[in-house]
Amino acid sequence: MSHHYCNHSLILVVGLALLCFLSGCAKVEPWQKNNLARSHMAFDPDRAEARYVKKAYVAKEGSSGGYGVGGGGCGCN
Amino acid sequence: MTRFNASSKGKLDSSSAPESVPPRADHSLTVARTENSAGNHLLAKLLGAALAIPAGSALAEGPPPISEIKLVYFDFQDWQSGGEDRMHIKSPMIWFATPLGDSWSVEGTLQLDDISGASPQYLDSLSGASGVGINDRRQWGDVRVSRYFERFSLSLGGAVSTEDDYISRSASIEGRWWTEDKNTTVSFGISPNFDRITSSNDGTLLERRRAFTYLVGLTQVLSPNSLLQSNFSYATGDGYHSDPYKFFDKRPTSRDQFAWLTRHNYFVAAADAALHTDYRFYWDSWSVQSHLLEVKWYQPLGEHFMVRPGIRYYSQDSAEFFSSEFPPLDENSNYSPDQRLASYGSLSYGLKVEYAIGEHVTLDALVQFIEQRGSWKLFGSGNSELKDYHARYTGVGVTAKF
Repeated sequence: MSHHYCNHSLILVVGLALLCFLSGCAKVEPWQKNNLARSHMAFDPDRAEARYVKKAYVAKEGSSGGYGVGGGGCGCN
Repeated sequence: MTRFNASSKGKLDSSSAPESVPPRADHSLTVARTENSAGNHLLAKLLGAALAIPAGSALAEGPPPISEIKLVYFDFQDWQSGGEDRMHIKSPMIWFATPLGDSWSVEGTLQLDDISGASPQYLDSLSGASGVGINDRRQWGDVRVSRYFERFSLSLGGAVSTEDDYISRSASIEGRWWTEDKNTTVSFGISPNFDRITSSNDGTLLERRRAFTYLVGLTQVLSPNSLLQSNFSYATGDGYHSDPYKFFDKRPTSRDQFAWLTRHNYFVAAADAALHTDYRFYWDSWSVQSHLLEVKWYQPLGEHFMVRPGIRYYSQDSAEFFSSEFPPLDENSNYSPDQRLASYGSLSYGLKVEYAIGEHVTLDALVQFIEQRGSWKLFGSGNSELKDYHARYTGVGVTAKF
């Protein structure tokens, strides 16, 4: 297992470094954000659907997480 | 969040914004206000652009500008190859989000699951026995209150899920900080979760599980047309993790789960569409490891319609104690025949259609098909002895905005 975690940590560090690099090259002014403000550019435009779908997959798959905190568990496993 | 049509085009950015595509901010109130009172003034443009950020957007650094309420009815059905239908779950849901004054908002959900079909003790077991009919109801609700400040926001939430043999309670607290230009947002969250598990087959069973989830996230505006979010979550659970409805099921009493989710949204100006791509890498202390890739295309059509095709691929490695042997060779070791802990790949695809009736009401309908197969696992072969698993869910909803 420890070897496993080592590899994953490495991926994480590389990924975060990549993110920092990406953020360094972005300077978007407020008046350039109209497209970003469109409703279908939201991460979850339909939050009711997102809640349902997340639970549906958690109940049928062996993994979960990453989308946020809260929401609670269910007796589905 | 579903009002996808442009209410106003081209007036905000005609002189100073470098984009050739006219802005079509969805928040018509804001846009209208900007146009009426301040015309083309630069300050108004800045203000308009800054305010025209809808709730649900990654850029929601304030309460949602309007109230929304949605009623939706979901229907879930699953079955296995060559077999009869398994579970059927009917789920009416009500969701709302509303601002409270200038700096507060509240959001909540109530969902009812009416579950019928094969008994869960056989749903995933490989014994091949057919299920005993069950009928269960699950009520689930959550509420979340947020307070917004100049450069950060705090949210406090609670959730409860109950059914005959299970109660789950959780709380959450989340903080978000953003840079002055609002191009970068950092979020932190923590959520304790307390579960109480009983069994309708075994009246003496009373078990508990406690879990804490921690999350750290970064949202970054990459360009005028693209957004990136990356979240890392760690969940640590202690207590009863077994399934009381599966024979011999015996899992470790702790589980540490790690998930790294990265989401990218790209606005395709030529098509007025949005391309959403999510990738999640997951691993845990049971040696389950998974990859998830999901792509969705949001395509407005004319003034009223939006269609959204989507495809999702998921692949996982089995838990180290998963076994398709039944019964287990050694009853003292950890063991689970649960197909959800097996090694397999899953493909799902679906379509959603939205229709906006005027400014205040939107109707939507969606369908999604899911299939899991041992042979669809990424990198190597999965548990080929698994029966192919199929599921389908549909939803019809109506959303009101006021």
